[in-house]
Amino acid sequence: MNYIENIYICLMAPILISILCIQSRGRPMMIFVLAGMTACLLSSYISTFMAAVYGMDYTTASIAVTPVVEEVMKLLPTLFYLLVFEPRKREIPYCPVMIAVGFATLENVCYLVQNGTSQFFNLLIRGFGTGTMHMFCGSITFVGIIKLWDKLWLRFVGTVGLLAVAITYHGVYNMLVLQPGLASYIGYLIPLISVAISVFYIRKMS
Amino acid sequence: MNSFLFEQIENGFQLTVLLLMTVISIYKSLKTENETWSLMAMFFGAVTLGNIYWFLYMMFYRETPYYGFISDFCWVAAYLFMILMLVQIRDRSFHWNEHKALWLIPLFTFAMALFYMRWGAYLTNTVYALCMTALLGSAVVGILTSVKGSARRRLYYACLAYVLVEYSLWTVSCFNWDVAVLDPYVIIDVLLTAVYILIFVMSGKAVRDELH
Repeated sequence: MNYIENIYICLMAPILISILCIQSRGRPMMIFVLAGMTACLLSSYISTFMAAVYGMDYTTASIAVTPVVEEVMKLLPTLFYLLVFEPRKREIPYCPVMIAVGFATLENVCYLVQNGTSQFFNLLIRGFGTGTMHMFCGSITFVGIIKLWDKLWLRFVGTVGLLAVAITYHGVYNMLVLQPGLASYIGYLIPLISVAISVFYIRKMS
Repeated sequence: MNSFLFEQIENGFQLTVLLLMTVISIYKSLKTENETWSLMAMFFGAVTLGNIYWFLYMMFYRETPYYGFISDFCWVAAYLFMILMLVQIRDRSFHWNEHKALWLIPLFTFAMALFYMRWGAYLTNTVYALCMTALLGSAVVGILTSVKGSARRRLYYACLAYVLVEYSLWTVSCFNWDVAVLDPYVIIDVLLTAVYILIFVMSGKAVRDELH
């Protein structure tokens, strides 16, 4: 059994200190990382609760409930930042990325505590795969909010649509990585390939 | 060849077609920076992703997903993108009271939703009914407001065909068909693939008209 709140406190403490000490642009970054970790902690509680209510096993919960809860929880801090602080456009991209970093960090540490640290190759692939997947899914929704629509109602409908796409992408990833052998490696590689293609196109366009 | 295998082959074919159209739509969207192509890319991307989830689940667990709402999320998202596209390319503003017969659309969609609720979840069917009302309404209004014979009007007709084929597919899936290969569900699913291609072609023509 994992005491995720204990792990959270351990990881959160130095970040909290840094938030209090650092000034200028570093502070929001650390706040986003902390928000990501908090979102991960809350997602874990909510997913466990939902799985218990519906009597799901670990596999079913991972491919049906977890993607929904995690993607919604990751989006909430981003929405809060956008709606409350109304940042300038160029400052916004840091937010979903750093939230995803915080989220993936806590998730990976929990995985290490549960499964041990002996298999280097597996952990290398998992580390990159999970981190990239969280960043990619967070960015899908964010791109829609910022870039695509000018009218409020279009932005709302489009964001809901892109959130749904992010949830399914996450669900497909979880389903693949839960399989033994080749399927799991394909699952870990999909986010890496997706991000590589996206970065290639973004650079080409700019 | 058993029906499960035949269905998987057909699903694989549909998935390949959708994947291809997603890639081409994304390419065209980036190349032309046209909003219609962007929304079509999102539409095809969402349908593809929903199908991939469903297809993988069936491949790994040899059954349809018990909690199929993840795919439903994506399919509903696809409808939303299509509605956005239909609304954005509309020629002029329109009020529903101009044609009273349009009120038959929600009557039809919610009557069908009530019928499907015998098998499916209440919430899912209600959400689908709302999306289909908006989609069907947007397609019909588009036909009424667009220029006769224009590419846009043909795109609206293609979207209308898409809605009707989707309804046929859902209705057919409510019953058990004790046939090996010529299962009506599979046949209509093949028809759905053809409609996806039709929508893709018509969007291309509509964008070409818009740009020239």
